Amino acid sequence: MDDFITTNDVHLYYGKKEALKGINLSFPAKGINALIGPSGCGKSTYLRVLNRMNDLIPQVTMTGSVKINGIDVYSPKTDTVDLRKKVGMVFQQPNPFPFSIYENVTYGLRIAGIKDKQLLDERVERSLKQAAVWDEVKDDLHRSALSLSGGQQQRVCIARVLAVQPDVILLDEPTSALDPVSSGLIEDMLLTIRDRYTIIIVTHNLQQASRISDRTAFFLNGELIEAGKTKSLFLNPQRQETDDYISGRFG
Amino acid sequence: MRKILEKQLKNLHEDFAKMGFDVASAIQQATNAFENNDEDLAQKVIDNDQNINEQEIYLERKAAQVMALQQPVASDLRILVTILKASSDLERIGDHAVSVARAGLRIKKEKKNKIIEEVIGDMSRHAYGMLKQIIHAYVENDEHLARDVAISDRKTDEYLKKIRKEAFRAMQNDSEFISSGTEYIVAASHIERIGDYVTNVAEWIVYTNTGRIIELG
Repeated sequence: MDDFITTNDVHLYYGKKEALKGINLSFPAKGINALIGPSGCGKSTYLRVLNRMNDLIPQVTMTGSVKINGIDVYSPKTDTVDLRKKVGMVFQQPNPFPFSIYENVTYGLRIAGIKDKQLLDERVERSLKQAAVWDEVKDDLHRSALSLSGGQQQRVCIARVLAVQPDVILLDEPTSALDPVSSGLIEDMLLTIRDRYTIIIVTHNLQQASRISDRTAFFLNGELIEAGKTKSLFLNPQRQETDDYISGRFG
Repeated sequence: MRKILEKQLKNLHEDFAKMGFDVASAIQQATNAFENNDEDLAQKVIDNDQNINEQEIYLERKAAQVMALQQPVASDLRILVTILKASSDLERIGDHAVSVARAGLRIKKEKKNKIIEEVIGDMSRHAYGMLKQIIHAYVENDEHLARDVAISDRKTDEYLKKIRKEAFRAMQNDSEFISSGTEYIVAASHIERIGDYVTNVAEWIVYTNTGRIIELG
């Protein structure tokens, strides 16, 4: 299988501090990939490399190559707005816009110039259904997204990403601010969409990584220590550092 | 949190080793009872099997509890899987020791063949030695010793062949040997199974170390 995302020798510096020390990591198309590691290991930084979110941080320099579906993400020709349509992102804190649920989900589509009401309606319903929040909000799509619970807000944010039909979904600790029931709903939802998207999730919750991901990559101090199928990484890690971290001996 | 898990794993480790030594002692006593026609000792082996069964249940319950509450992964999880699986193997070895003791009880009034009984004694001591060594390999987490012990199971198979041959010959020559000859073969078959279960334990020790489930022997 050809890899859908490949990153080669990625170094990233915050000023003089090297946060990523030459990461070589690839992801096949479709499926769930977990990035794990202690705080400050570089996993979130790496995630943001994939859709150029680090561009917004001053004093960041980066070398190496990132290709998604054959396209050089860091080429000067690459338009970051287009890129982020293909590579959507969900954050730790649910961040709905202070608009209605409907307007949240259609936001990206309207920016893309789509005005067809019927198409917008279809996309809203399909995205909210995929994000497993439709049944809870369908009766009043025009109420403010801010009036929803944290777990519902997060699923609406995921629907907002799904509405623009990305190839890749990046999630940065998407359930760490949620209760176990809401987290479970999001995990179940990710499992139902994993056949259609390449999903990369940063999580501090090792059980979450082992429950839902197909592949896991373990980062430590800016380095990729080990990456592979989740079941072998959690049962029989090849590196002692991995064994120590997932067994809670440090971190 | 890690401290609790480590303590629980250490306790299970010690309890498993204790069960191993109890089972080894059951084999030793069954052998002695068989060789010396010691009814009291045979009965002791039979009665004590309940205690071995309870140790297995205790280990299974505790291991499942640690899995549920501590959610171990990697080497910790492999240690627990090994305890779960290998404790069943030990329990089965205990059952075979009981069968050897029972065969000894049945044979008491029958005509004997000292030569065959000696070979059965040697075979049983070999199986006892294998079990003691495998417990040692478990305690020390010594994969190489475990593999060596598994290889030495061949000798158990050779003993069985020899005993069958001798017993058949004795039965053919003298029909009064038929009862005892049959019991000799039954006892030797049980001891042969002990060797197989020790080999299973060896396989689990390799699994603890490498994560690979393999067939030894």
